[in-house]
Amino acid sequence: MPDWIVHVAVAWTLCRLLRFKYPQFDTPNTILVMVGALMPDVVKVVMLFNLFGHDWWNYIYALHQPAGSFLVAGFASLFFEKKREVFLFFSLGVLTHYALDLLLLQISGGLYLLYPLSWVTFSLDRVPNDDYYITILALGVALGLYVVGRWVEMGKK
Amino acid sequence: MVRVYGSVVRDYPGEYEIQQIYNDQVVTMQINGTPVAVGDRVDLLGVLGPNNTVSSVQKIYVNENWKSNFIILRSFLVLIFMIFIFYRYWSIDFKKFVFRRR
Repeated sequence: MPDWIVHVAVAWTLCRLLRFKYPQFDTPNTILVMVGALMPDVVKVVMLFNLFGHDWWNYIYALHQPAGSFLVAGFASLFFEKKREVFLFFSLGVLTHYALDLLLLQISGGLYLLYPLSWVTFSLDRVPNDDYYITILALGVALGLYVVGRWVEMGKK
Repeated sequence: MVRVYGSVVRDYPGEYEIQQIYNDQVVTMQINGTPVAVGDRVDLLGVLGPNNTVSSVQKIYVNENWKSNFIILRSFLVLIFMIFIFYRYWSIDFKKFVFRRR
């Protein structure tokens, strides 16, 4: 994975861009997209189990595939009033997550984007997962867009 | 050809040992190749030999220890930030057990 700063920053950037045209992407809904962008990484809970000598990776790895992540998003959306709308915002976040993970360098294979329909793997093999330049870039773009957004909003008043 | 990953626990001239937890068992593999620093995380593709030895490494990716820890640290900070900002804009209704916009 790129780190969570990148996932959250890219999700926020996308929502801020969409907000210029679609008012549905207000701050609470943007936060849902940001949460959705972290949902595939619920599998990182295995790191806690690793500390105690247990390897749960194979049991929950399916949650780090789009089908598994959409299931997590669907389950989480049950705890909101507008379930369908919330599910769609979570799903947008999930999609940004996989779009970013596609960039990662892979030793073998890649992401099983079509699992369980197909075992074909996908990867663009571009960025090492510990790269922090992409973090700086994502934060820079988000910050720039924040300034532009404020400037546009002030111009409307 | 196998893919193995784990943390480097020992470093010898021309080879090193990595350890990983696999199915609740600690597995130690001996890798023949350019040494890396102890503590680094290694993910590689090589030819499996006898006694958990991997030779002819085809592809290797080394995650330096400090970079791995730095990822965990900044991701943990994001987790705290997300919890804070989520509760800033959403509240939980304990009667119906649903989240509502503030």
